[in-house]
Amino acid sequence: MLSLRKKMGVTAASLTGLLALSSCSVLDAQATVPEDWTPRGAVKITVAFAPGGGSDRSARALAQALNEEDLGFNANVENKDGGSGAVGWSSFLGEEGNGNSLLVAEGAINILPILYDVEFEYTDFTPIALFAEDSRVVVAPADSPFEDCNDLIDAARTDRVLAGVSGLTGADAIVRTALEQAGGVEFDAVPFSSSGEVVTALLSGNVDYAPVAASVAAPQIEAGEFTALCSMTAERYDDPVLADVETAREQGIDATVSLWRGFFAAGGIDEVQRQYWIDAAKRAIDSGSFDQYIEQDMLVPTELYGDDFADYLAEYQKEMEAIFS
Amino acid sequence: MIDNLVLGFQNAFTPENLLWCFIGVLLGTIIGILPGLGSSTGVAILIPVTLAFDPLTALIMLAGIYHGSQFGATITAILIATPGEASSVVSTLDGYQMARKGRAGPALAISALGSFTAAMISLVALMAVAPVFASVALTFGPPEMLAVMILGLSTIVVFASRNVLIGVAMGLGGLLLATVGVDVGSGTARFAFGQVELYSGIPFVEVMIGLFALGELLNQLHQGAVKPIRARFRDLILTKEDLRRSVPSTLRGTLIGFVVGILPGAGSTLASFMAYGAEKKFSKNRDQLGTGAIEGVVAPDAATNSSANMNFVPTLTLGVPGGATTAVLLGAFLMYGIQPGPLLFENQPGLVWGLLVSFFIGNVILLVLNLPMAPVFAQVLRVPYSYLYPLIIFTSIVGAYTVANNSFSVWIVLIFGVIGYAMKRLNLPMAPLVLGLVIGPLLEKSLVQTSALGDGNIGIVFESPIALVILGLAVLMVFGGRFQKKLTQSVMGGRKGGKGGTRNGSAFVTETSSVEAVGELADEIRADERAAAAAARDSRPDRRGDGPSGRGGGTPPPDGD
Amino acid sequence: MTATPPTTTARAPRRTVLIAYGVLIAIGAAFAVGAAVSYPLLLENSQVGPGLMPLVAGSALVLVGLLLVRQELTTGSVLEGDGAAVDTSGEDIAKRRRTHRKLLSVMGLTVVAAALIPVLGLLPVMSMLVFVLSVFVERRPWWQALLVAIAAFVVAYVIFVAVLMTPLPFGIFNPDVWSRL
Repeated sequence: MLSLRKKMGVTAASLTGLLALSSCSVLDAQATVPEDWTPRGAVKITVAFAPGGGSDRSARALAQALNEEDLGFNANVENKDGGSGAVGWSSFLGEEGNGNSLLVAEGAINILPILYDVEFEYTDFTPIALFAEDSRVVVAPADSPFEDCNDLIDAARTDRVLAGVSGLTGADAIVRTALEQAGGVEFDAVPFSSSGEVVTALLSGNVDYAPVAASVAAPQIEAGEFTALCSMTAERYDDPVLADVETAREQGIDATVSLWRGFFAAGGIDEVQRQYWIDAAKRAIDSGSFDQYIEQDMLVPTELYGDDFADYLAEYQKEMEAIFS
Repeated sequence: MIDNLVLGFQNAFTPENLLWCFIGVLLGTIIGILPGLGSSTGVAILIPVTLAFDPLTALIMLAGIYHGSQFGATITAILIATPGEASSVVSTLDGYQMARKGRAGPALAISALGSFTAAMISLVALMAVAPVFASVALTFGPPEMLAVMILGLSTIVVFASRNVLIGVAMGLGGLLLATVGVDVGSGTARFAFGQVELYSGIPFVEVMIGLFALGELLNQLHQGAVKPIRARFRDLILTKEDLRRSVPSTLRGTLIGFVVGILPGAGSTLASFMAYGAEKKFSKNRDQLGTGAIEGVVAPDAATNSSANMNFVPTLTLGVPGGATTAVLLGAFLMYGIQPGPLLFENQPGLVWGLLVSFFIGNVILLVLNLPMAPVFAQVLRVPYSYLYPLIIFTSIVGAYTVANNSFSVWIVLIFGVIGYAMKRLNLPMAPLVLGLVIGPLLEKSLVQTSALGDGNIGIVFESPIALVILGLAVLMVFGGRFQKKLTQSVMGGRKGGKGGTRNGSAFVTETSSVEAVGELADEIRADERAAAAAARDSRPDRRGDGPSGRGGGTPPPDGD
Repeated sequence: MTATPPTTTARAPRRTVLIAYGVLIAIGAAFAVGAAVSYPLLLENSQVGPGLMPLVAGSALVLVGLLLVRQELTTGSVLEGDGAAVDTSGEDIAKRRRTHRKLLSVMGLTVVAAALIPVLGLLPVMSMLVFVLSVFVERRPWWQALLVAIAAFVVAYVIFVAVLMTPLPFGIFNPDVWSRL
């Protein structure tokens, strides 16, 4: 049974490998890209996370914005979730040279290669546009003795303070590390696999505090379930509920956390194709349906395109390496 | 609450909403029938279509898909042993055996009826006391969830009642397979050998399609001479006896689904397994389970549906998804510009109550749709096997591919198809393996979280009274049977217990069910088996199952020979 | 893989069953050893680490496997699952060989079809598989088989591509490929 299974696995792997290679070379036999290139047929937008999440929503907003313009192609979203994004981003390596393919990515694409043995780096893909920055609001259960983030750091000097953290490579992990480094303390963390679980743990008082996304925090704060301790943004949120929340900087803690969200095209595409997508992304991001998404998700609207985005990424990569290695 | 209901009915009962609810449940049934493509993917795929709608209409349609897929998933599980969704794995155990005996019609009908009943009961509860349940859910932290997972794992014992060791071995195998992939505590990619596809673990749905659909198919091919099952009309409809037997099982299943469904992240798959486990423990006809007992079909389906509804408790009251599909629905809320959270009931009463009322409507439509369709669907089995099995391969592989849009899924199906075939030939039970695979990640996660919470001390489980009660139940599950068996043994004079006796029994079951698998083709039945079949038929009126002969019960009536 | 004879009296240990138990023991050992060698059992604060589950479950599987072997050697272990496998040990060699050949050809053709998905596309290649299996393995009339295969293709196309808009690969049948040439 075992040997059979092994053999099958090996032949399966080698066969798929072989065929993937051969089919790529046959199908993507496009020698030169004409000056007036436009995508045709179906354009696939890969999302490395499950449907319903933040990345997925941004991809669907992009697809909708692109399709509304009727550019002669049909954009559709494909979720390839798993391994905190590793599965989707690795699979996007296979799109090399394909101008008909887009990728939604976020800061974790910088962090994963630092921590894990994955095949990709963000430089394998072509940066198109950064459309928003995301951050976190640090919250505690309503009946918590903590009132701001300094209380957390002070308490951690003497007691055990438990943080609820969703994912080991995302914004939550960066917030925890940033607060630890700024305060010179250490927090114990309970790992969760989704932000929903973190909210449950906060509501039931299982953890002392947790960094959560603004769109998750706001309704809970409004309902009086959570106390907001501080926001990890550079400036306060422009939101009726969150406007009262001080930033960590205001509280004298030198820590801001931003997690970019953006689009990539496949690596190795032609300059004509890159330029096409930069222009298309500009129009899509400025469209009404995309604005609505940014507002709903309470993201910080930021726009960077092409080379500017690439420079930003290089800088971001250095920051992340400082935090995670 | 009456005001709210009236409001809900006003909002839901518009021609447009009713139409989209109908389309939703219809699409959901199709998505459910297809193996692989599950309700969460189905809902996600259709979100863009609904963006142009009014939010309530959109949510009604998406919820229709969710409910429809629960109904549809059982259909292929019963007919061709191919579970359409993870939660219908258990339905293959008895549902498929019923179909092999020509009773696919009643199996499908009772599945629809049980699902409907469970949905109605759980919906009333959901509407009446959702906030209460929400606070119950919050008392379940990592230590309590750890206890729940241990209880779930303990049902392995009942899934392999005659040789517990094999069940345990299979369960451990499942747990081990579940450790492949990135672990939640440290983010280490375990046993992935650089295969990025394995980072998210061995994909469960594909394993299931392989083990059940392809494994059974190869097994049938091995046995050869598979004749189409021609059921007589009277076998296509439910009997009074069927209904009578189903009532307590439906209620038990509903209750279990209820409890498991409220807990965020526990999932309806676990609920269905626990419901089946409870049937094996408490049902009057527990000896017939596994050979095509109606209780084994209705209880897990009821549990799946009631837990699917109870998944909305944390979703609507806390803004925390109760399961994979409700997570997607929460994402959809955001896209329609509705902020889910604890204030949803207060801020959006029209939307929430309209949605809840639409659940009722959707389930009524599903019952009306599925009950008369049951005998029709059962006709699928009349297709000659030489066409049916290529089509099963077609469906399995296309379905598997759509899970992740990836050929990797297809290879997983093929590999586990061979493993499933080997297990069938050796007569090793699959349910404990699947159970281990389902519970493994949940168990490990709560273990990691408990140890993080207790600063390395898992013993904090014993400080929680709720966890202690659940662990007590688990102990009863494992050891309760022993006492029961001993008791029966002393009463019945050892007819049931004892090593030799059990082995006799198991061989007996194997032979009779194989006879039944060949259907009514008496000329194919060898003489000795004919005798066994006759014995089983003779014992048919004696359905109490309190003797070795009772195990062969549930045979189709002997007319038409 | 021969079937297990459903014997009712004490019998000699069955070779295939022992092999199966051996495989279980090997799997358990592989996971346990792999975990012990590569992954920490506990993290800092003695939090449960990535190695603990596979080590514990793997070792337990080895133990249970050994107990099963002992059971088989002494009393003959009870195999009872949901397979309801028919005893085929009494069949003549020719029939058994036919069965094996059929199983191998079905599996083999399916593997070939799966390997061809990137080239020929999912729905086309699977429809072809339906046709090939019905005609060449099952000896069905070719026109009937063709109808069944086309029907399967159309139904799947309507559901997956037209209604659900799932991005399925069409390989060389993808119109985009031809328009690009």
